[in-house]
Amino acid sequence: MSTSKNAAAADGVTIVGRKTRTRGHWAIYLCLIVFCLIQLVPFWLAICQSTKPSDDMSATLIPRFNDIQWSNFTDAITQGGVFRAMLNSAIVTLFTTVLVCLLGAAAAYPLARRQTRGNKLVSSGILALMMIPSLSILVPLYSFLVQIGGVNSYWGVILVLTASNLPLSIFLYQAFIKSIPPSIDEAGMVDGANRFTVFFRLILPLLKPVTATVVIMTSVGVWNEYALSSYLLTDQSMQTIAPRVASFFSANSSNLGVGAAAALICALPIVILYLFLQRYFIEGMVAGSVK
Amino acid sequence: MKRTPTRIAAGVLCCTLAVSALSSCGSSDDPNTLEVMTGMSTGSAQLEAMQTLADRFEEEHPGVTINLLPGTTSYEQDLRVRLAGRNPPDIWNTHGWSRDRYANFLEPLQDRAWADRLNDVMDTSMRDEDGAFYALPLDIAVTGIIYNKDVLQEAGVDPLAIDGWDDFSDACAAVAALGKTCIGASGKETWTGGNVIDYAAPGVYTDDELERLQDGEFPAEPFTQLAEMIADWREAGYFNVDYTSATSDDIARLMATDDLAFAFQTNGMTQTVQQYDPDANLGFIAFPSQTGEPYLVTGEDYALGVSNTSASKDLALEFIDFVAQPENMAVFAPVVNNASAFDDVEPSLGVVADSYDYWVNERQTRTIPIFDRVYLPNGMWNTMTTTADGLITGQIDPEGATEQMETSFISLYRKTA
Amino acid sequence: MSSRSSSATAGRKTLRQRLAGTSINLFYLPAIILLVLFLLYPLISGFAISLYSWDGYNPEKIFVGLTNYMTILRDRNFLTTLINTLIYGIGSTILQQVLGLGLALMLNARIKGRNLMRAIIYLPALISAVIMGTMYYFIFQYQQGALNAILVWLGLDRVVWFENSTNAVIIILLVNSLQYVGTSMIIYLAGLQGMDQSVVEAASLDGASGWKMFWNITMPGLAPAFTTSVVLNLIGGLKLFDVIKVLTGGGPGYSTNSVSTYISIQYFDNQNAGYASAIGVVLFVLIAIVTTLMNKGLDKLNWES
Repeated sequence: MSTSKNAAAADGVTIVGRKTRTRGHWAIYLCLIVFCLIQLVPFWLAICQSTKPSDDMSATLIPRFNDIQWSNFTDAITQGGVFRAMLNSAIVTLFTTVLVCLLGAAAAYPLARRQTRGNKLVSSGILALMMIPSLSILVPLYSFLVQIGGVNSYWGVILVLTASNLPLSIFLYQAFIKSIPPSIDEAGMVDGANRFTVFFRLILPLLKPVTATVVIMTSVGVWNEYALSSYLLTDQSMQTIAPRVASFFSANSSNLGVGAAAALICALPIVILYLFLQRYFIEGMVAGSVK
Repeated sequence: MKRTPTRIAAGVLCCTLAVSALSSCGSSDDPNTLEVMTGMSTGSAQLEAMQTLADRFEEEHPGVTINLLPGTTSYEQDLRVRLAGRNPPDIWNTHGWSRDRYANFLEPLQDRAWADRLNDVMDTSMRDEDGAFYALPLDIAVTGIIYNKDVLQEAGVDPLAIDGWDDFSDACAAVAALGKTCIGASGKETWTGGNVIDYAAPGVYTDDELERLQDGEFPAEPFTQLAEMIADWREAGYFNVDYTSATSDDIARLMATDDLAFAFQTNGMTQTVQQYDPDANLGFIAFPSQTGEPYLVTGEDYALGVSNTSASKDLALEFIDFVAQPENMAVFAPVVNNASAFDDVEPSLGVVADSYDYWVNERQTRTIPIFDRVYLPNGMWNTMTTTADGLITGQIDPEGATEQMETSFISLYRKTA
Repeated sequence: MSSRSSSATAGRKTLRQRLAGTSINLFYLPAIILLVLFLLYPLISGFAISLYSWDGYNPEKIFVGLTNYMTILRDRNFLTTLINTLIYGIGSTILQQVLGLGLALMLNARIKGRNLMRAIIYLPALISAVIMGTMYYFIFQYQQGALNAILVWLGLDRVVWFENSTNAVIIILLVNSLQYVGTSMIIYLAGLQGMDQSVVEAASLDGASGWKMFWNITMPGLAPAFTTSVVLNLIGGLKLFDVIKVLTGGGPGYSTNSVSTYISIQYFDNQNAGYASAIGVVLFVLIAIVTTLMNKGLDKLNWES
């Protein structure tokens, strides 16, 4: 019965689909293209802005491709030290992401497998930490880092950003591990392996898809992080990109063209990373969102 | 394949250790390194001038490193967080608040050798009752109402004939008739609105009333007058229509395109306008007063203070002494279009030079310190900016504005007294 | 005797099992240590600040007990910002679900260029909110902004997009939703791909009768995706900060502030760090309550399906 229903449904797609495909697809394409254009407008404006010298007062919408102000880009690189900032961001992002994946997966394992009252409390406590407004912790956190000598150091900012990204990753890993049948663990235990071996040998390799998701979410978040790192990394040689780009805009004078150029240069690596990981990103979410 | 996670874990651990080892060198406690928070944006002429000075100093003092930190729009917050965390930079730009906010954190500088060379213009804004002061003024803001000469000419307004706020309102009417904006302010950067009250207020109070303010009394009537005037300007549409979302940059651009007549800002704004139009034709007029002669407002502008807890205090003071030398002060002067705090440093006023010449040298206009620092209790600045914002957006009426100011005035005066 | 020994071994076994059970908790120890040091400890110190009157930078603090919390009750501006926060949080959550689900359904079909389009729609979520906000500002800017440039080109008058607080709130809501709609889309796409493809396609392309299938087949299947997406968007919306700062700075007056930006104003501009911390505590509790309620409600939804 169900097979015939499925077949009918499949037939429906081809028959009805052919009809709607000419009509329906046009509408869908139109919708999608308009929406994509809307999403691209801000980037177009940033590109336009980056082509102009600061005394160009024309509408932002109109680019100046015949006479591009290349100095905006070279200034962004030389004055702004954008490459150095990108290197710093890459270091911080890399270590934070690896730590978040490892610690997050490890923490999610007992929380998903051993749902005692205590662990449920721990798990909702961790979820609650996601809701902390970063301003509420800024000053105490800064003072604490000053005390332990973690200001203007990679390890300080890496540990802080790891902590602030852990709750989300634990949330995602937990949902995913729940979808793995416990029989796998049990089989491993029967074979005489301890919990650690089970986790590292059996569970961890299965977490690849959701790890792709965590990698993207965390690395995007850390690459762009501003609220905390602008205080923790003040030394120019240590600064990451978001604070660097912000330094083109101050109360007294802003340089929109150079700022836009810097923003575009800094966005490039993360966009490229995303394009490479996009497929895995969705796959990871599939596993994470279908319990 | 199965072993990879373990390997990754080990690798990460090693790398983390390596990174923390690498980063442990070069901390800010190094006595040969000076950390300077400038509050100046990357690529700005001001920061470049500072860099020139830093380079010169480093050249004279081998082994010394000066770290200039550029500022963002949240400069003040950045500074506060560092003060709260007991980790202030060695030197910072006190942006108008060396005495009134940061004195507790700064080294007094009145005993430095160059202190005698200072002129007395900075006394009212930077020295406390005992004659102590806490920052080296790189310039002194001598501020009037900035105007665009071309716009006023087109509107048929003679700026020098503006004598009293009624004349100013008439000038606005003429500008508005051209379809242009009379007064530019930014709701996003509330200080631009706060300035309107801060600069115009001394002109509505009599000397007697100003004294009463200092004694903790709030004469309401003059303030209501001022509030009504601002409310009238709003109603007549004299402020820029995009007040709510405009940045101070947008205001500068509006003036650069000859669409804006006046702005209540320091001369630093003319620099930004010129960045957008190098040929902009700008000047300033003194503030009209209803109770006396017109006046200019003087105050601390760019100034460098030394942290009194700095691990490299002596070096920081040495750098300050170095910057105070006339040939070094001359490096910074051309990038601010303001008066100098030193008699032996030639001010470089750029586009507003002839206005300065007229009002300061020719008419010998009286100067008044910044209103809120002298006549209002500490902490009023913010009430003043919110009040101005409310008036410009029409969210409060003049009576409400006065009430708001009075309540805050009384409670803050009690707190500080 | 034998029964005694067997009960003893049973007891030992349960103890062993119990120990094995507890030892698994060692896995979350490193994470917990980091969270306690860098989030919980500062959070509790922040709570402590809320009991003081403090300007936020000078060493002196005056203990005032719960005064700051009493002040919140009388603060009309706080009420405004609280309402705004709920508008931003709930509004953008709804908008992102509708748009995200719609886009996911369209992009789940086998159409040309769908990978590119997915990437484009997700693109803004890859950029930091401050930078994105500045770029969006170029759209609404009065003088050189893109929308007004188009109006002028069409021979119309410029529009003041942020003229009143209602407009401004709507624009902020829209901008936040557009920036993060990609996240919802990806989550729903994932949910759709976890289902039987032919059924979904039939449901989404089958016209009128498809609606029924959509409600009966697709929607229940998407319940877990819905939960994830709603929780993420809600937290993001309730914490909204950067976009407001960049677009309006909270003005006119206090009318577009969220609680987060209001905290920043109180902390830094008004020099009321103690009061700002008290508001922070209230915001934290508020988000926790809303999210827990939502989570409970959504759990029920999952059970029913």
